[in-house]
Amino acid sequence: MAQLTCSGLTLGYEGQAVLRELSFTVHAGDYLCIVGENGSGKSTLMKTVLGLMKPLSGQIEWGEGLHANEIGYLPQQTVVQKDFPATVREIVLSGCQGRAGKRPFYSREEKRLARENMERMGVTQFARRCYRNLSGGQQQRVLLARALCATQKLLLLDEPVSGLDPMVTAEMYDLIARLHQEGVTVIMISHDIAAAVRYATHILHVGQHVFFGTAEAYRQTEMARRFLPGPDAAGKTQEEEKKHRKKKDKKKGKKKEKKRAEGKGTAGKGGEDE
Amino acid sequence: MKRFIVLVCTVVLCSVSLGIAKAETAVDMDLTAFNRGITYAQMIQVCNAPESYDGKTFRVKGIFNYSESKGTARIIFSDSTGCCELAMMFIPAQPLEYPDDYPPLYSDIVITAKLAVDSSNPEMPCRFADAEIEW
Amino acid sequence: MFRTIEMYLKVPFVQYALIVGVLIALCSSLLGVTLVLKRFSFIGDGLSHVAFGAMAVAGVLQPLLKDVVKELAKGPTILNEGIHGAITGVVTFLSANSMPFVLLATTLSAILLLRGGKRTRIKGDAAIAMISVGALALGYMLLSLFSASTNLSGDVCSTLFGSTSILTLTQAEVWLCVSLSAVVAVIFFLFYNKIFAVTFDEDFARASGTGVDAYNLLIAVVIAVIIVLAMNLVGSLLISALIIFPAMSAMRVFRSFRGVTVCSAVFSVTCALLGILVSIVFSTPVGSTIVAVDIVGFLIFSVIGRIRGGIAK
Repeated sequence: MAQLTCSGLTLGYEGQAVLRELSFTVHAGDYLCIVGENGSGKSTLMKTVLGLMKPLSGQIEWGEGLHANEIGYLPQQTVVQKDFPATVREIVLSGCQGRAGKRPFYSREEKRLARENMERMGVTQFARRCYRNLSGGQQQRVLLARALCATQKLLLLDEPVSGLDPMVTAEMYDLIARLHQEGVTVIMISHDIAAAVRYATHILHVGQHVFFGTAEAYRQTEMARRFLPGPDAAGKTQEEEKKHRKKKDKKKGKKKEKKRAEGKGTAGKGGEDE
Repeated sequence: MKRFIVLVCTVVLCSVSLGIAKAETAVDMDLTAFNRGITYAQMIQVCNAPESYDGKTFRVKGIFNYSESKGTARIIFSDSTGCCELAMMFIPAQPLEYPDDYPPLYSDIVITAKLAVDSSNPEMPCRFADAEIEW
Repeated sequence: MFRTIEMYLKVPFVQYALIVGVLIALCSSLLGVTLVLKRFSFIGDGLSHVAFGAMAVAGVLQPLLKDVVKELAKGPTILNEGIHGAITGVVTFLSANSMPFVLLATTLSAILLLRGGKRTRIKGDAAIAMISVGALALGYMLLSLFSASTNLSGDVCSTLFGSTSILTLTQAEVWLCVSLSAVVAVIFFLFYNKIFAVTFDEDFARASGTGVDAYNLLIAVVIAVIIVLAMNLVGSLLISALIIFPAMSAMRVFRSFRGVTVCSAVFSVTCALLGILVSIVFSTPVGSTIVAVDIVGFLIFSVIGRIRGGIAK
């Protein structure tokens, strides 16, 4: 069942289009990664899909049974939030605001939900701690718990691992993968194409070239080859990789690269040739 | 013996008459214990709703002023910073000559007077009458 | 000294001043937490200057309105007796009370400045400064050109710094202040969770279906009302202090939003009470005294916060 269908979307600010005629579909249970260069409009796309901005043209359709208050969003953190005086519990509870609607106070059900999601994200021990005293990774997990309070079906994550150190980043990806296995549809913006390709079921690459399709298909494309580290990660054979490198080296004439390709042919620095 | 009786009677008579005099000039609103700011605020409240204070005797501290052009004496109340002022006209109980019978201009005075509502003047709807000045 | 305080506490208008002052301080501190966290602290200042300008305009219009009342009394009946009477009533009310007009002008400005929330069009400190200083200057000019008051600088000084305004409120004004403060307090209590959501993360709130624009509008209107009321307590120039100091002091010590809000309210009420009492007994201007007490309180809380931060980690 299609949860989200975008057709012919043109997005931008103040009349200036950043992305044109974008069309893609997300089905329940998908894990879609949105990748692309800086400034290619990834955040704009997510904000438009969420209704925070209006598209210049095109349509966004939500599937049956999915209301605005059933979408969980993990935005990039603002300066204000890093310094905000609030306990973890208060922040996670605020995720239930969408389902609370016009009711002024949270029900026992909602408080239980908040407790459960804090358990899921492993932040229960911080429940009464102040948000600003937590580390970056812990703060992201709190915000993820909040997003889960708003939804059981669909999560939209805007660069959830930016600014986190490698170990915490890996933990975060595992956490998100686990949620995906539990049945949550994930749409994530990421700078980290290697990780994107590893975890996602579908990739949407925006920028100069637009690609939408399965992660498998993406690996075969020219774009992926530019961005991804090496044959193992890209799934290509060593021979193909050698040929590819020779072509490039001819263009650029780097002798060092040639030697490396001839001698080793293992995970090199394909993406950095650019 | 006679002298003693006369003495006792004089003393009794004096105290009784003093007592009566005090009762007659009993003050309804003695504001002399208030500081400047509160006195000012109280008088503003009085002038906002003068009907309920009509005829009551006040004893208030203020600053003396006299308008030679109009021939009227005033008592000025001002708040702590002196930025807000209220000037109320008062009419002495006995006719007084200016400047001899009056206190020096801008000196601190205490007056005991009755409040009179003056509906003809919207700017200053109340003033004091039968004022006794102390300075 | 206690006997002096006892004596003053028996005076009715002093009692009203304390009640109204406490209520205004309470409301300002509650909304102050939101304003400070949204980085909109300077808006309190800007709106209070607009309120001053509006008061000046109202002061100029009032004699004109009084003439209109006279004309209405003399002239022909408009439509029918009932409507004519209603119109006369409204115009008479407006000619004697400037607060409705000031409330309207300030509320419109607040909506203009705050409704957009993060996306407000008149963004930036420069735009707000322009509006703020423009209103102040034009207001003062209008007053000096058209005011019939005998003590112009006294009126201006008292509006800007609030020396005894809180002690000279009429019965009607006292009831208005009390009822508006009560409404604000109830609104804050009912919408507490939504105000938190909208203050912490507008984008998330919007994405999960909370009507962010409506709540931003509500916050804007409430702040305008509080600022107009607070002008009576501390004067136009010092309103920001009532909004900012309690919130900042509370944030030095407390870690949860609820803790900050409650502490802010208690701090503000205590400082207002102390400030009013001190100013009554020692004959100092009410507004400045309250702010002075706020400053002392803030310093005390900062020290407490430092000690706690040093010990507990």
